[in-house]
Amino acid sequence: MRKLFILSALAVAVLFGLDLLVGSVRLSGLGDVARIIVLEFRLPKAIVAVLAGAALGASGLQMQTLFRNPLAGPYVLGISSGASLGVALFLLGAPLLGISAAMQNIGIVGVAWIGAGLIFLLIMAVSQRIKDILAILIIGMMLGSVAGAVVEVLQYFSAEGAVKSFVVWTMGSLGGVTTGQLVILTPVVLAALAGSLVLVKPLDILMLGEEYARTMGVNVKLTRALVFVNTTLLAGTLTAFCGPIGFLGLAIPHIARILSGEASHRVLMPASMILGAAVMLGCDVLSSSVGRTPLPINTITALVGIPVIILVVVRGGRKIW
Amino acid sequence: MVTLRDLTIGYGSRMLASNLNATFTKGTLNAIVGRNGSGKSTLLRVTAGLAKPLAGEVLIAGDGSLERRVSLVSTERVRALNLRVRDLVSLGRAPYTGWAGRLTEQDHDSIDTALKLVGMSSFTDKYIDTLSDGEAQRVMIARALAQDTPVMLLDEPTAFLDYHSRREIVELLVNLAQEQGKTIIFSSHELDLVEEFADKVIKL
Amino acid sequence: MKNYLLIILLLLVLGCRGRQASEDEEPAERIICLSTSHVAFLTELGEADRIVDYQRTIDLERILSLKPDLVLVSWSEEGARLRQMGLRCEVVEEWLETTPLGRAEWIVRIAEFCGVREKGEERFAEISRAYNELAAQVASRTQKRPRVMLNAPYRDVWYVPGDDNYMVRLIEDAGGEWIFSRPGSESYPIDIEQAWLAMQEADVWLNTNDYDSLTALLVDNSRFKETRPVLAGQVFNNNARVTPQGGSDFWESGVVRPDRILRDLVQILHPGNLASDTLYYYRRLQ
Repeated sequence: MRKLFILSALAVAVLFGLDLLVGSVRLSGLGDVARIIVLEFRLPKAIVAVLAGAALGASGLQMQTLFRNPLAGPYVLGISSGASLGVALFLLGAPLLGISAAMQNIGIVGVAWIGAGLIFLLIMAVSQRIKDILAILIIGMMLGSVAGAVVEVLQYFSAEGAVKSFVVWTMGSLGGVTTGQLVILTPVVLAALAGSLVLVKPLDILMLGEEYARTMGVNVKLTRALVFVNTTLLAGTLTAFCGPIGFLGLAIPHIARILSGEASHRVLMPASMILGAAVMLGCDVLSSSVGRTPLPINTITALVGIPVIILVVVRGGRKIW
Repeated sequence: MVTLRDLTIGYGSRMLASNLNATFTKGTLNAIVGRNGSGKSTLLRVTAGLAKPLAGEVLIAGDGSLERRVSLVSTERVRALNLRVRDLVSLGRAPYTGWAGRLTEQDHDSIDTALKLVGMSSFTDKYIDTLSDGEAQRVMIARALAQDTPVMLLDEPTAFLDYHSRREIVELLVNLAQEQGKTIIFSSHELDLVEEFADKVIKL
Repeated sequence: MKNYLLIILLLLVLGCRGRQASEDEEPAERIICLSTSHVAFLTELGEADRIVDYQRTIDLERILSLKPDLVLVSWSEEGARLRQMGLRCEVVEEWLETTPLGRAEWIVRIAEFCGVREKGEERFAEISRAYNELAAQVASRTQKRPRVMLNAPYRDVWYVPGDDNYMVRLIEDAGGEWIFSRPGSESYPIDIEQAWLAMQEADVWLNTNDYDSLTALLVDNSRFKETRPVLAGQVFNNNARVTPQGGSDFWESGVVRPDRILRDLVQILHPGNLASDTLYYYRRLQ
């Protein structure tokens, strides 16, 4: 097990370095300009990649355990859809209705956060009344669909330029985070990652089911609430700053399971974080090295994530939840 | 020791059983029998603290938190990815481990003992989804044993097992009551086994 | 009996076709526009009161209830749909043109629909004369061509036009140099690192999306704070005039009056070439 962590950490370090070296601009012979490009453009991007990968891994794992569903990901509660709705209202709705001034100050990140936060509050409210976790899952997905439908309506009525900027947002981007935004992103994600580590024992016990968990002294209601908080902070924040980045949240916990052979969150949680960082960095390196313009990150995460998911489903014939 | 005092159980507006009074002493094997829907599961759940009684109370001797006094083996089949037998049983130590769930020497001893008592020591590294129903049932009992509680509740522990396994499980429970001094309460349909082995029977 | 029916049928068919043919030549008095640039064409011609409605997306019911003589569309697919409903449709594809004057020339066609073709030809002659004179004037002076950067990024994707794009033409005619080079007229994405590198060589930054102020532009793009155009205060956006619908007039009347755009660009790129220095569509971002 120790070997796995050491190798993963090494992979993160190597890929981080690679991510700094790879890009559309060839660095050799540029001197001072190269330094600026690496510091201003690539370093923030690499840091975001590490945080994003860890965030997706940790939130995906929690969603899979809480809902006892191996196909759950960070976005099943509709939190990312809430963030998208916030952004759509900002980019599409405000110009349509002529209310730009107020929102300019909050910015895209602010409205995305508000959108994610609203969905979170709805989920918490629902969770108070409904005990069955499966029902909550379905409601979360429905909320996500509603948000998605509203976004489509906004797109339909919007001008080309606005739609284009929204579509570009949905493709996800790690490089669009400014240093000022990074200052906010980093502590929030780190805090939520710590919050995820704290939950490893209750998550382990939850593997037996909520009834068993209660007989072993786990406060299921509190655990659920904390998982929702973590997911909102991880998936919601990530979506707010980078747009929705798909597939990895679902795939990374499975990669961790396959590589470690373990079920305990004492191993899987940190493993998902480190492997998540590594995979995300790898995806970013890939996206920057194919062709002259970087490919949208969601394309790469799909190409990486989908085979893993298929592998899990096929293998899981006997092992599926 | 478990005492039921003027206990009325049910759910919603539906009352299932009322004014139950009984005492289950240490080192006894006790059975709850009745038709389907008569409240056997509900009674066990109320005793385990998972549900509230409509009236009356359940008293469980001993001090410390409830999870150190009562353990439950329910009918729910546990399914989890990558989970090995030993991993599952060690979860039973939850009331005694720290915030991260790390296991001490003592915890490992309890787990070993639990597995030995149910005769599953050789299955330690097998994944739980490769077990037969009978083997899985034993593993769940081992988990409850690892929880090291004076009171053990089992809901239909012999359901879905073949005759041979059913007998084995009940004999195991007798053993646990007599040799380990636990208060064991289980619900069952098997009137013949109950009559043969149980010290006390509650009919709902 | 059968013969009579056949003859009546034939007459009906001929009658309908006949009606359509004559309608095609009658000037349209009631016009519905689906594009603001078409509205701009009609306004420039002085025929704006022929417009009974402007719609951003096709509202079929409304169109039918207004009974227009003509609906101006931008895509032939839209035209086909509306013709099926029995409406007269003309496709105006000025947006496909890659030269500024090519776009403006559509004013003649639209004038034709209104039955005032001569007026259209006259106006276009004036516009193209003004444009060509100015372009020649600029070309005749031997002066350095300032390097121009276009557009602003969405997050970290920067779309820039190909060499044959009409905006590139405008810049070149105004005596500027477009900083990238790639065949074609469509927009393509470049990496933000490359954009930054290019900005190190640029003199002027134009068409910065929807930003109203330099401060707002730099909040979203703080990495470009120290680039040459920003430091020299040479950032201009083409949203100085806002139409009642909230769009930028650059894309409306600007399509009809490329000579005005050219004038603006010459003033930006070669201040001092012209007597006055008031900008029409452009403004300097502070």
